[in-house]
Amino acid sequence: MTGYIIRRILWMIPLLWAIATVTFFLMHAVPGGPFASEKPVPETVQRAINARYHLDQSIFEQYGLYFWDLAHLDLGLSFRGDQDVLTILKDGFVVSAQLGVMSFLVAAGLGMGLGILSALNRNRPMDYAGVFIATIGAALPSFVLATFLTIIFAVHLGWFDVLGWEFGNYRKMVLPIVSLSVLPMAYIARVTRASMLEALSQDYVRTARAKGLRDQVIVVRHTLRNALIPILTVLGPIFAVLITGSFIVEHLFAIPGIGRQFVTSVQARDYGVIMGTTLFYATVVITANLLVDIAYAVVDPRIRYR
Amino acid sequence: MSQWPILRRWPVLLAGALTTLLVLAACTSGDGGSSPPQSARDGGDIVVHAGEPQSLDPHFSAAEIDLTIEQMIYRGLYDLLPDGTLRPAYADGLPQISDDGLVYTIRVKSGMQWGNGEVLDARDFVFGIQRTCNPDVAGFFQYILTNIGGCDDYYFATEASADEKADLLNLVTVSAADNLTLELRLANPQPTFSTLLALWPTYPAPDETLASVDAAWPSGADTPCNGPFCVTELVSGDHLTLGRNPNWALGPAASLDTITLRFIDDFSVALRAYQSGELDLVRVGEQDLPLVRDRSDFHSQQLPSTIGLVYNLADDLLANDSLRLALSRAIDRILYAEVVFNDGVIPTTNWIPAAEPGANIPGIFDGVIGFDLAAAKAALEEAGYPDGDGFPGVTLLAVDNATTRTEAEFLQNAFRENLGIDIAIDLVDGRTFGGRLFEGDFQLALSGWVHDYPDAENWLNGLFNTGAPINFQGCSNAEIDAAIDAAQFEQDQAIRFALLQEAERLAVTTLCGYAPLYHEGNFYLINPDLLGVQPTLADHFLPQFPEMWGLAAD
Amino acid sequence: MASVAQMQSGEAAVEDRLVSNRGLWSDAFRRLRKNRPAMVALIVLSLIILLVVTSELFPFVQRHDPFFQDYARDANGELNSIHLGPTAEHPFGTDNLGRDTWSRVLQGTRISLQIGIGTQIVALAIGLLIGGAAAVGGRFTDSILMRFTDLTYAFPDLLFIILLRAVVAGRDWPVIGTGDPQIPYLEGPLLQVTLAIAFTSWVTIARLVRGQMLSLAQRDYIVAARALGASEARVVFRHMLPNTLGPVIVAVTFGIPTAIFAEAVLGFIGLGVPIPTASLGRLVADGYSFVELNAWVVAFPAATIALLMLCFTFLGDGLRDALDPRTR
Repeated sequence: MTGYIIRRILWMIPLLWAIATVTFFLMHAVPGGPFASEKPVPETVQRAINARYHLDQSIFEQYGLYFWDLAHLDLGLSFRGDQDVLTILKDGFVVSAQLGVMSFLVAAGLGMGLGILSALNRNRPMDYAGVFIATIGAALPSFVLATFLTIIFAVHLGWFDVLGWEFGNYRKMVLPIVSLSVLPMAYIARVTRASMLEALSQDYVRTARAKGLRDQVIVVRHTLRNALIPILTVLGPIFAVLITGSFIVEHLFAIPGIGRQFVTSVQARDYGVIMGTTLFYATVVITANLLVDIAYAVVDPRIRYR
Repeated sequence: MSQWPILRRWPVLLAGALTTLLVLAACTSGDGGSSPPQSARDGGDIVVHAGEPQSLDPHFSAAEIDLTIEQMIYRGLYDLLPDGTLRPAYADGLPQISDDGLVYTIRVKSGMQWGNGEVLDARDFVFGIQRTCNPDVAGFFQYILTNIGGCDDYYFATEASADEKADLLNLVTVSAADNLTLELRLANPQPTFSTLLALWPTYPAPDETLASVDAAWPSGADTPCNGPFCVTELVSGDHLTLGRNPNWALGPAASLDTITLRFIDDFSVALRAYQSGELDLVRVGEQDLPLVRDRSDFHSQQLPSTIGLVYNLADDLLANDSLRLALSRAIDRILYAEVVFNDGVIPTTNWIPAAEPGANIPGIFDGVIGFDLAAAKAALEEAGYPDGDGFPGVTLLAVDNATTRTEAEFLQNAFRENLGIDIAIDLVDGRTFGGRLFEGDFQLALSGWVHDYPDAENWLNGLFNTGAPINFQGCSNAEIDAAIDAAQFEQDQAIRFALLQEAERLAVTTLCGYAPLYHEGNFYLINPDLLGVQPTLADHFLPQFPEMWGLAAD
Repeated sequence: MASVAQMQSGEAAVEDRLVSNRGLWSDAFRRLRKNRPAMVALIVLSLIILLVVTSELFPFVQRHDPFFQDYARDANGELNSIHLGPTAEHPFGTDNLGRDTWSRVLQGTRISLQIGIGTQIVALAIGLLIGGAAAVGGRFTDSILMRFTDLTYAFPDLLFIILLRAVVAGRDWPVIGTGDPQIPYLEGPLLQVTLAIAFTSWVTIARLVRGQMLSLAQRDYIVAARALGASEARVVFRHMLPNTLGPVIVAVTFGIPTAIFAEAVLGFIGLGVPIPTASLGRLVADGYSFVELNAWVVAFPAATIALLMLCFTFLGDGLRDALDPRTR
């Protein structure tokens, strides 16, 4: 197991390198440069600006330069205000992670609770109600939901703020968390319900039931543990997605998170920030997947990694 | 969906620009311009809608939002007022111009300081102009100073050694005769040059703070300032806070303590934040006009901009004069402004907005390229496609956002209904659009121009002369070239304007790349308690002169 | 030889007892029919699809040309056909260009279903192949495929989408562009969006399939089947794959509306289907600008998305229950 984990961690290096390389060439292949759609400027001026940012060098020279700096843990500068990319990432991630973790807790807690309730009350009104709630909540695109929530609860009722995020200030926390967690909550509820039903139908659960064990005990001791595998498969990526920031929610609440930085940087061709956010995002996702795989082994001792 | 301040529809909108004169009649509704004098109290904090600046280096930046913030924290030699006149700011009186029109001598006010206490004198202005001409600073607007001797040679010496650059720097003909006297020598007499002394490329640079002419401009709370406000905090992605400049001496101290600029990409979000009381001043998108235009806190101003249908003349199809005419005459610009923009823009067939010095009379081209169904059909027939028969199809390139999509759909419909031809629409993101436009990889596009300085010259020179740097539509017309060239160094204002008017007439009537469609406007909601905000007729993201703003006494 | 034959028949017997594969699909259909929510969902979905298909064929269903911009004016010279709420003439109202929302929603539903189903077909094919191969292909294959999965998953899809658009937009290439031939019901521009969304969504399915199959591989009946000498292919295709279908179907039914959502979000950041064709996502994203001016123009497409979401969820649930013989 330890060997497996070490090998997986070592794997991350070539994987990140591959992602960074593909991203590097891809982003330079996309038409338009960081200063292309600014005010039309004479070509001579464009050349001077390119020289300032080393954009006049060949793509391979730029590639070499970037990876040389990267090897020295220097992520470079943003075209926006020459800010340090590492600082942009750090500041953005702190905000996105706060919002993401809160939303994850809400989504996982409510989603699994709803899923278990539905499964235990299969084909009864409780089940349909659970499915219905989960589905309706997720049936509106998040930007529509966030917009309606804002209009009702912030503009008209004045309970919450329209703008920003501040940890500990409920006026700025509730709407973004609700908007962000509804869709994953519904998904988690669905998967939980499905895999609980699957686990409940296993022979040993029937046996345990036949032996007269109380329902709760069966659920906790036997079923949930087995039902966890498919749930973990979705929880890992959902966690990774949530803490790396949602463009939509950060855009609609003007939250300075990393999701917004990424989209803005792609749109602005801010190469340094694109590379930085991509590497960061990739690291988080790969780590989350690794953690899921390890968690598999923990909840299901029959899975062996060599 | 809304507009993205950073990725606005047309590349030109990112342009900076400045104060300009404009049609007063179209300029205000509500009571913004004529509110009864009310006393503003001293102090107070406001939060306003803005975008994140790309750079606050006045000698480098070009984005609309950058220039908006720069006019709050910097001042140059002169302020350009809405009526087009120059008001001395750090200059002590108007420039003394030599008889041959080549040497400008400007006195700088004495005893002036930067926000950090550093002395602000003529040397700082020399340093500022040198920075704009510096090849490593690589300023976007160097080209408007191209007439200063040696500026071009220095700017283009990107490959030169440090010693060569130092030599070239000494050849830039800007100098301080003494601490308070700035002297500029031009290569050619330029009638519009004084105006440039009010623009950001000629703002001063603190020669003690900056170690060398190409040193990086300090950012965040260290950003230099000599305007009424100074940057006190910058949080990337979130906000920028401005505080009063303690050393501001060009007028009474500003009454507001702080102005916080919240970075909000989405106009609809900003509008909701205004409604919930979180913002004191927001920009409003055209799609929201019906909701807000009758409110008393609504304000609008006209912009020195023109958006048109761009023809790529290098395209075989669009090289056909009659086809271009047919397309232009098939667009009902009044309906366009009403349906797409809720009358938030002014329909036009003029390229140069009427308020610009040297512009033609509005509407004089209506009979040539304006909406006329019969004439459009006749032109199409003359182009060889009677009733659209045999038309091979053409593609319109546009930026993918809600407003432009609506525009494209309107145009597509107009061409189908009025001419019987189908056009395809190619929607791309802002940077791709800019890239393709300048590579000439398009047939039709939606784009336009915002002026750098208020003069007809700025609307023609560089855009319509053969092979000019920004002539990506491929316009090439000997008569236009001759008129622009003749106007460039013409000292007699009346003759110069006549030449420019002729150049515009030729450019518009031959549809040499643009079929003008409309002039844009800016729209604001302003908290009634926030006094002194005058729509300043500029194409900044926010109104100018924040030192005049104040909160009403309770 | 005889012993082998015996073992094979023995295996068959064990198999039949373990998984009643023989009547799987007919049993499943019987069970599905008993599931009331699933049947309601199926009927509603069928009606929607019928409506969408007939709207293309019969003008009386569609009532208006979805592209027609109505600039009629009233006696005062005001435009009176834009931003309408529901009327007898326009049951869903009209948009900012005076187009009939009912016909736009019908067209949008068709486009969205094509994108949603197309995405899932692509994602399912890749996901099953890669996830399955990783699970049964041994350590090395597993490592390579899962790292490839990680690579795709960790890759910035937005960049990929922008590049895809920049490269293929406006080209007359066959299949993926606007040239001939085209895939029926998934024309070039739609295919571009479909591929863009499928680019990352197959990963979820692949990981799900692999996780499920790794877990199944340890189950007693699989071990028993292997012990009885069933070939690897037989074990995989008869025992493991069908038993993976439950969670995969849940993922796919969720995937269809999720893809419809994803397309809406792409539209929101300016990368949706080409105009004037409207998907439901594009209708919602466009209508969003006018939500305070005319909420109907958002409400109807959003409600349609919600309805599709509900239907696919209930149907997916029903299918899952019906396909999994062990849940009764």
